[in-house]
Amino acid sequence: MSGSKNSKEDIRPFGSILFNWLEHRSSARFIIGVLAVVCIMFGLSDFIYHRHGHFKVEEFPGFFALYGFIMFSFIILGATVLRYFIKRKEDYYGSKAVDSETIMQKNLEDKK
Amino acid sequence: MDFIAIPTSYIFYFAALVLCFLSPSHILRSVFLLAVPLLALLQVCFLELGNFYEIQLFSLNLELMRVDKLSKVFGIIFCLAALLGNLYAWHIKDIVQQVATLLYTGSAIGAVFSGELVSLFFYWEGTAIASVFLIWARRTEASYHTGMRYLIIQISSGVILLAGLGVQFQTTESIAFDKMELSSVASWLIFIAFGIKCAFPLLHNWLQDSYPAGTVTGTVILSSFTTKLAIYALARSFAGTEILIYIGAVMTLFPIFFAEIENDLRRVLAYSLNNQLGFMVVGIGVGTELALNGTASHAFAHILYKSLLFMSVGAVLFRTGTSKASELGGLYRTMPLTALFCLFGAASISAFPLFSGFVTKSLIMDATATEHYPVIWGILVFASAGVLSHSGIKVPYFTFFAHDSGLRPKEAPLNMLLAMFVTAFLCVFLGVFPDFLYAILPYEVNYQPYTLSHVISQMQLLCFALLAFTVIMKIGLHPPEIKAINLDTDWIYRRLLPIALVRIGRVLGKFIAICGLKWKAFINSGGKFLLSSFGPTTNLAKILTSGVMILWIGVIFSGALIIVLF
Repeated sequence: MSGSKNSKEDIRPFGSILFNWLEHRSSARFIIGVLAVVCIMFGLSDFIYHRHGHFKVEEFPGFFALYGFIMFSFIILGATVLRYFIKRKEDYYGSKAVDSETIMQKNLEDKK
Repeated sequence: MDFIAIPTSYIFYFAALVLCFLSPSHILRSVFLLAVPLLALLQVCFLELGNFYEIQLFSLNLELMRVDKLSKVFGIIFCLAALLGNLYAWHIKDIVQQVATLLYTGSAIGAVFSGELVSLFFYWEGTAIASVFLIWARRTEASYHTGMRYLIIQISSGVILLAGLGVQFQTTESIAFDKMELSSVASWLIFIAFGIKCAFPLLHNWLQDSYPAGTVTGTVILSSFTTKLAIYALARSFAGTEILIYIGAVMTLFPIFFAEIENDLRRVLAYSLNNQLGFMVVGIGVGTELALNGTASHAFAHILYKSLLFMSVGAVLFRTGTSKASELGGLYRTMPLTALFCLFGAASISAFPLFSGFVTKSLIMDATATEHYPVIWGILVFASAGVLSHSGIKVPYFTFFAHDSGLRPKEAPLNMLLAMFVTAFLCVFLGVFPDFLYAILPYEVNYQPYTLSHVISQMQLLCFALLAFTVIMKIGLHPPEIKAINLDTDWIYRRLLPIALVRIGRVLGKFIAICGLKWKAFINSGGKFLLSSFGPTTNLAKILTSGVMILWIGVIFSGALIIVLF
């Protein structure tokens, strides 16, 4: 059954080569490094060409970069605050909502 | 039009009928389910523009096939979505789902090609009734209740549409399904009916409530049709209605925050769907040729990448039994292809250059900018970062990467992988060669999405948003995935109203007790009368199947329609 913890060697599906490199110890550092380089490249590119936009604000160098960074942080922050108010237990609506259901797991093998 | 001389929707209806006579385990049935949408797709592609199949119903002229560029582009994508959805559901042996899918698809396509409001109404209700079986097919108590809530809201939308149609016919003797002004009662009623299916703010709850309750394959089908049919109807009738710009802007905003903290990934996708509809609604509100092209093309691309995301999460649900982010993680080890396709969907919805979302959303963004809506434009850019946060990052990251959940499910079945591959291919294809999509849009397109400014500003926005995500994860401020639900405004009718009614009942009871026995006796005799007429042992309370119920709903609606028309 799928839930059991097999060792990694047991299952080598077709296509596993795609992400095998993620197992490497420093893969996270590598990804963050690439992201940082890409960000710096795109961030600096605003200074070597002139952006044509419909609004004045678009022509401000690094506008989209700043907007993206700040707004993304705002979303995460806003959502965290929102969760404080609206979070409820999974079985809040009882048997009338699918959230507390586990039936999908039971049917797994039949469906195959 | 030459090689199949019936309206496209009837192809699906006849197919549903034929399906009942094919053996469930027979390979023929699976082949048949693919052949039908393929046939319909071919028919729609070769349709000439014009009105076909005008029939006389009482004094009304019904037009079953109005083919123009707008209806054609929606017809094509609906057939394509049905084809991909059926390929994804190839392994399903459940005839209820198969028939429901065909009827639902047929109704949606029929509605798109309806030339007037009467046939639109019938198809409109058809989509409601057929689609609920994709939720009920889960066959649990919770899915039954969820399906009921869904059905009540969907049918209400149809009833309101019928009311609008009735009022319009009374005042103008016209059943035209064309451009309207929001100036009369009739047009407001029709507007609200469309708005319910389009999940306008505060009318949106059915979407997030029902889509996580569908079956694995059912939700993929559900996600494609109902809401995009409403988008089509709005684009047809209310293009250029300014209020839609503001409604759309709100729609792009609020789901972002809910999606970010939602645990069930299929509900995350439902919120994200709502947010994407917002972009299309803004496009309809702006109403210029550029904006309407944007809406039509965004609907086209959206159906594909949203299906792809629902497919990949569905495959995970199919293999692990859960779609909750708190239970998942690290699945890339054993489901690498599903993970890859999910990333393609995520990149498309986030509108990375070379993916389909980029070439379609740009049209809408540019339309708001050229028509000078700076605030709306700012909101849409903000919402683009929001899309990245939940659909672009959250869904793939917490399912396939992040911490190792210990789950080692098998890779998705071959048919699912194939469906995901084709959909992912189309997402990239449209992104790289947008001209193929632009060619079938309602108006001529003079637009170049791949300009230097465009690509760089979009990449800046997305890369710095990703950077923000990385920073937030590193300092541990990202809201953790926990087993919980979040309240939305449906709390009002799922919790508040029932409790309030019980309280009011209690207070009334006390009041009656104070008023004396005479009243009590009166109430009691009334109660006895009701019990003897409607109680559990009487004819009216016999348990009938939902099929009979739906038949009677159909009879009542037909009756109402005849009364309205004469």
